[in-house]
Amino acid sequence: MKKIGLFIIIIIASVYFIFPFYWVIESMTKDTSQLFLGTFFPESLSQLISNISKTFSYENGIYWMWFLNSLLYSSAGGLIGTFMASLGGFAFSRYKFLGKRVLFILILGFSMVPGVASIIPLFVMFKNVSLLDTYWAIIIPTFSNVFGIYLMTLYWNQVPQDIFDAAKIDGANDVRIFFQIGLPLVFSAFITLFLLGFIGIWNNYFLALIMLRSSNKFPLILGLSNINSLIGLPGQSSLYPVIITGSFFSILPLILIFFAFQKFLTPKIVGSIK
Amino acid sequence: MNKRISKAWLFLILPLIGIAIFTILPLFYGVYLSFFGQRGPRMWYVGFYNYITVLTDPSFWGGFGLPIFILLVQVPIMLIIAVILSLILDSGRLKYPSLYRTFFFMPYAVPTVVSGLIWGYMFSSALSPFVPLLKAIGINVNFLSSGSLPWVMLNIMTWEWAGYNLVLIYSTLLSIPKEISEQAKIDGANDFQTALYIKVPLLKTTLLILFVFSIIGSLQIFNEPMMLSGITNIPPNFTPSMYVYNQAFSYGSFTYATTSAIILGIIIFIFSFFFLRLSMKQMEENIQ
Amino acid sequence: MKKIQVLVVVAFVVLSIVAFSQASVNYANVVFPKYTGGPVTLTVWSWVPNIQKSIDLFEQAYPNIKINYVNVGGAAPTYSKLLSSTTSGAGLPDVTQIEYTFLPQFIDYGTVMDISKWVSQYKDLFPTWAWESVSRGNKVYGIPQDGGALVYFYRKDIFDKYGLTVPKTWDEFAQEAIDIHSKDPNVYIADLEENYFMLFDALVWQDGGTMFNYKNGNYYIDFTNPIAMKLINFWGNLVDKGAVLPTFAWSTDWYNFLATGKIAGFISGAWMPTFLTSIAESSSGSWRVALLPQWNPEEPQNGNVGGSAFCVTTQSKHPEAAALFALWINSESNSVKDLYTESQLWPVANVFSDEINELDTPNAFFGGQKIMSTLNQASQQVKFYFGWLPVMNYVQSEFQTQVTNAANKKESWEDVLTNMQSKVITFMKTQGYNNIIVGQ
Repeated sequence: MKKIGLFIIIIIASVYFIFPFYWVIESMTKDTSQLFLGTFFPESLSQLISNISKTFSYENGIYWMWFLNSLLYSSAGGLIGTFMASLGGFAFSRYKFLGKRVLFILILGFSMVPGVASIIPLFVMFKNVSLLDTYWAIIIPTFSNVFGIYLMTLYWNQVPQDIFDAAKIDGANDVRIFFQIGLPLVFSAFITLFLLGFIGIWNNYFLALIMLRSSNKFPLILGLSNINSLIGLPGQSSLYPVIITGSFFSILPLILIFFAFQKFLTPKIVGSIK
Repeated sequence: MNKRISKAWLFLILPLIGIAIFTILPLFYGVYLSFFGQRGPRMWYVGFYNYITVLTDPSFWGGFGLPIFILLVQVPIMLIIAVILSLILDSGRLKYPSLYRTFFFMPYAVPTVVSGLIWGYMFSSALSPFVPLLKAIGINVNFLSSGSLPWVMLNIMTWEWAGYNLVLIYSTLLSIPKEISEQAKIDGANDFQTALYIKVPLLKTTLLILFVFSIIGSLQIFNEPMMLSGITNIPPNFTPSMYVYNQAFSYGSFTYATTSAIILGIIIFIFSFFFLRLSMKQMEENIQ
Repeated sequence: MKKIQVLVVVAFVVLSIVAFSQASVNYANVVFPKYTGGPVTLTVWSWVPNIQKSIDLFEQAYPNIKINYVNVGGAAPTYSKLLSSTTSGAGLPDVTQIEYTFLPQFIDYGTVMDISKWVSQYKDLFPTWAWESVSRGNKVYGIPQDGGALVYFYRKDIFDKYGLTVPKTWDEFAQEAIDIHSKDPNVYIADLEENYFMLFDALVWQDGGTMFNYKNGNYYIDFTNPIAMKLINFWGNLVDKGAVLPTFAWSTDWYNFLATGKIAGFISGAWMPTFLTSIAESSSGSWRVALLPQWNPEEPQNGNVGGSAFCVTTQSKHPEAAALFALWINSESNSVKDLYTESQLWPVANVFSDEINELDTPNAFFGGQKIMSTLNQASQQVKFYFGWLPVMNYVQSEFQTQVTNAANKKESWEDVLTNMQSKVITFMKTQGYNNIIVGQ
């Protein structure tokens, strides 16, 4: 008896979390007037195809541009950020040096400063050097990855010292040790950090919103919100299907990443209960 | 010894330059800007005037209403739901717990901008499937009226984050050694009692950390209300982040916006620092 | 004797001819200045759609001036770019579109320049209030392009169904709004658009009042003046009685209300017909346009909501050509015609009134009504002008917050204006404006 009760709770919860995905998909099969009717059922397959083609041909295919932009920002940014974090983590983990403790605490402190405090001055800085509305405006801030350095230090700390000592005895210099021995050892951490960075940049709305003006540089989510603000101008009232269809395809890549890289993304709380 | 020091810096130089330019420099520049008044292209020194204005502006403090509501109402509700669902998944009574965990986790893959848009549409009078349903049984409701906005946000935030919290709680539950629950069974406890009195207390650390993340998150809510603002009437100070954004980009007061952002940042920092220390202490106690 | 009589008659006739020809200026035959400079290309920032025809006409009339027309994407993005280019000292176009309400802000920033020396002799081509909108004393900062005199749009079929007539006075209007609410709580003949301060301001304007002004270098702020208070109480009472629906204009729900007839009548500007045609497509043929009710039907007045000017920027290397372009495109008779037919603006140039008759055809969306004559009549009723504040974004945003509170009974309607008074003054002081005078 209890089993059925628990099962019902789980089913209700599942329906709650899945329903918006269902709503998006069934809405993709409707045109604007059908959307206004607010039913729970899909309409027609041909409308679905028409909506998809409308979305990808909207404004001469700018949706593709937005998609590629998101891909570019997220991949480049994720790579740069993770590489920076690896360099920093390696330094903190494998070396003793003057000022190490102080520097580490400073880094920890800065990782707790919320982005909102630095983003407006960053905007003004970029404005002064004409970097506004460029791809660089989104990519180069990823050079700063404070939290990543902290995490990487923890991961590097788990690698046994002996491996490095052995390499040193074999005569390898530090740079070689980093690239040929070190990085492969923290490979899974590298991937995890890269994925987190990728997802973070893919979803970063505020930075793109304030830095970019030209619609052809927008990442996907900024493009979608832009279309949303256009509804109501003459000739644009039928944009709801485009936004909804566009939303679907903006979710798809992340869901694929989640499923493909599940094991890298299943988070573990550091410090188990024993 | 000298060689050791220089080698570390070889690796540190690039990331440190990155941090210096893109995290530290903007903070200092922001503090510098906060001492200036600004109108269009002109700036002039005003000392602490901006700080006083922000701290005495009821609109600024009004913006904290929503994050506090989220913190005191939404987060506990969401954590309770996540704990209950995790315990059910962990109870061994279900055939495919991982499948359900995947269902619960899927909203995390949706960018918050998109979930703001989609839920906004689903709650709007024009596109909502719920409105005609409720109308059919005689209930006329406007989900997006200003009184119900906090509850709309509660729903969106819960939908977005419950799964993430659940996965962390569930993985904590999974790492509880089987012997403990088996021992409890031998001692005569049923599953329900085991869950409540043994498993839940072991979640304390995890829950505390999740609560800290929620504080930092709720004080910075921006994306979802921005999406709702195209659909319904959202006050420009609905959240502190929106206040900062509007000061800068609707009124063009960049220096004033920077000042309010710094104050907001300090508030968030104090909260996170306090709760982080609390959770560190908890973790230390656990290890003992 | 006879000779003198003949002379008198001749003199009388000659004087009459002279008098008549001065009384009826022919706006279609204006002689515009020649351009004597070398070939130039002007960059123009504007979000007016489909303006190419007017531009082509200009380039034909002035072969040495080429126009590079750039649509930066709407008012807000344009203003933001204007601000950053003004700040950085480079990047401004030669000509930019700026709404009347935001012009004081950009005059203050130093973005736009005084072009009076090339255009002041043409001020009679425009209505006085429009010319005043772009001037400060003898300085002229732009050429007025379009306007939005207030008119009332309504669903004739719904009005007929409930036996309503178009009200001629505001008292009649209030009574009808209350009546229809009791007959059918789901139908409204007006909405209060919480996020549209300019509309409320135009209604105050219609009653001869103003909440702010600019005179002799000072900004005057008076949100709590008797006319504004009367208006906010008038509309607030109707909202409290449920007779007027508070709405968020230009939102999904608002479009839905217009499309389904929940809003069966509303007030907007003369530029609204194009938008309404696409928003309320499903009720095409049922809408009509009427003049607003009046406070004093003996002396009809009106207010204006919306409208922009073309301005020359301070960074333009060819200000004379730019001023010429702004002037010509907004007052030359064929160009003005195209601004209406192609770009769907309501031009304010006086020549447009003369063209109404030939352009006015039965409008299918409005059930065959010839709407231009009504819109024109409404435009002619706009009588006076006042100066806007340089912080209109803030004013609009505050209005939205205050009105929403009042609609939700969190404050009184009079508080809306009282609060706005103190908050706007505080904000302007924070922005460093020392030239504020409280009052009219």
